[in-house]
Amino acid sequence: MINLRKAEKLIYWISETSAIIATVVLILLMLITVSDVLIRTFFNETILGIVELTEMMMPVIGFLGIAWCALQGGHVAVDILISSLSEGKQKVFDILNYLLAIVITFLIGWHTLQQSFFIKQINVVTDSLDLPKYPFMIIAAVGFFLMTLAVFILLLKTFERREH
Amino acid sequence: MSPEMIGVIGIIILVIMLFMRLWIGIILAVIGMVGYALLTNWDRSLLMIGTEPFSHAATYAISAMPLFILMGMVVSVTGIAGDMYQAARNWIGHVRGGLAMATVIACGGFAAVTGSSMASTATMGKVAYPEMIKYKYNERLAAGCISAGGTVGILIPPSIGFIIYGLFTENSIGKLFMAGILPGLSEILFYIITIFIVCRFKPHYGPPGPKVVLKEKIVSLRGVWSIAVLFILVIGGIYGGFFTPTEAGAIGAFGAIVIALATRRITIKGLMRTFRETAQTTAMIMIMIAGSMIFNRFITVSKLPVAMGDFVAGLDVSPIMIMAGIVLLYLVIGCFVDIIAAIVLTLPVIYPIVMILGFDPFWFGVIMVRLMEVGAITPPMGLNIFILAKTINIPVGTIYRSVFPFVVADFVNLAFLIAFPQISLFLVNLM
Repeated sequence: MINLRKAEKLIYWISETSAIIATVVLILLMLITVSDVLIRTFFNETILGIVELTEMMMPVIGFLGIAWCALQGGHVAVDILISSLSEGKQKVFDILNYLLAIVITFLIGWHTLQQSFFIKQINVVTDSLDLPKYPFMIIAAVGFFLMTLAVFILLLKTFERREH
Repeated sequence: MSPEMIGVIGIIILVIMLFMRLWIGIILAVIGMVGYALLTNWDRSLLMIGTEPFSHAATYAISAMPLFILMGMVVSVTGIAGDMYQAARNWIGHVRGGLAMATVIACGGFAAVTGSSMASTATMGKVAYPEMIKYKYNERLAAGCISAGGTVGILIPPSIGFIIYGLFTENSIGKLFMAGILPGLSEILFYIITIFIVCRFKPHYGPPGPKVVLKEKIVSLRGVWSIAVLFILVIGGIYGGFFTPTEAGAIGAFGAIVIALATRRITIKGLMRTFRETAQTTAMIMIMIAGSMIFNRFITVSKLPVAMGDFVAGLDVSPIMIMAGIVLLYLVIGCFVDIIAAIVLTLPVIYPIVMILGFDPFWFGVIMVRLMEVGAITPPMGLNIFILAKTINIPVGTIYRSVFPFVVADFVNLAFLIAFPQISLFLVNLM
């Protein structure tokens, strides 16, 4: 049980850190975009490959935060019917929710990872900077795997509460 | 079983699962994956779920979304809502119903910049409601104008709803932003007229507030001018073609942070909190977009949109009647689901039909968003109403009754927007 607590803490920490990394990348995106606009306005130049940089930053910004969002209860659901049920019945739906989320996020993560290996093999790069795309795809996959772990923790917590 | 039938079953299961309090992004992805596998095979379906989320996240257009969310988050913690209300109050508070009108204007302004009608409702509940009660306003008028006022925000750019709509329908986000401006302003105008009419018949509902001298009026603008300038820069930049929506979002977020830090309206700790909240909100939307894109692939291979399009085109009723049906559908959806979720849930099926009927995509975007706003203040859900009830501690039932005149105004406003697409398309056509 102690190990489980440790694992839980670790997953919380990793999820939060990933969300922070996502934010740092967002701030970076903001800064390079503002710089590009200023450079364009005053010097009539542009930062080379800014569009593709933005495109590669977006999966990092978007998917590294999904585990943290799950742990914070931030994902959207319609609770108008379920919230009127008894606590026990509500838990059944919570468990179903978590199971579905575990399966699908793992599958998406796994197959995104497979795809990243494939595009590495055929050497897919961005148009002007020749940035390989696969590392960004791996980061997206990591985001989904983290969510799988985070939801697994939420699932375990549901059972824990039941025991009490 | 025909592919179309599998598509229909998929939608039915989606609706059932929706009410089981399952995460929307997750159920869209699960149904999309299984449906796609049934219509093709599992290998192709698994390949599809491994490519769709990444490929739709790795686009330039989508990057406007987190940047505008960041801008909104920063502005919403700066306390500018209170300043906006004070400014509006000083200018028009002395007329009958003026405090309520000022509330609608400040609500609209604040929600427009932050993109969050909930934050706007909660803040105005704290700032404007006690003020109105102090000046002997009727509590129903006071509560009604706050709930309704918050809904203006999503039409006036920058609007996250329009960014998502633009991504799904491959329409220009900048043009969608422009399409929302006049309808958003017309909504504020309709609410002001409503307050005027209510106070005309029941003068004791909104007695005139205190008169303020010109100097004080001008001084009260001090707290809001910087954000107003930023807003004009961001939207004007898109309108004039100087920035892409992404660049506008970056400038908006950067400007908001600079203004907030320079005026000491935010601490470093507060700023860090807004960063974390931005990551969370972005993730929440991204998972819905990923799910919806997977679901979209399933619906496309089911050929359901084509079949429904043929069916609708073969019907012996005018397109406007079908549009009336769609209007009704969105009003109902708006009562249960928030706007962004509703967009990702419905567009894969509804949008192709709307295009077959020959309606303008920008106009439809405005109508759709507007419809769901009405849903945000009508029973049985009405998120704004719950938030306000909690903030000002009065029963939900009272607030439901209080928004009634504003819902009537919404319907008249909607009829105008539907009858005169020019209101939505005027600025789009000028671009």
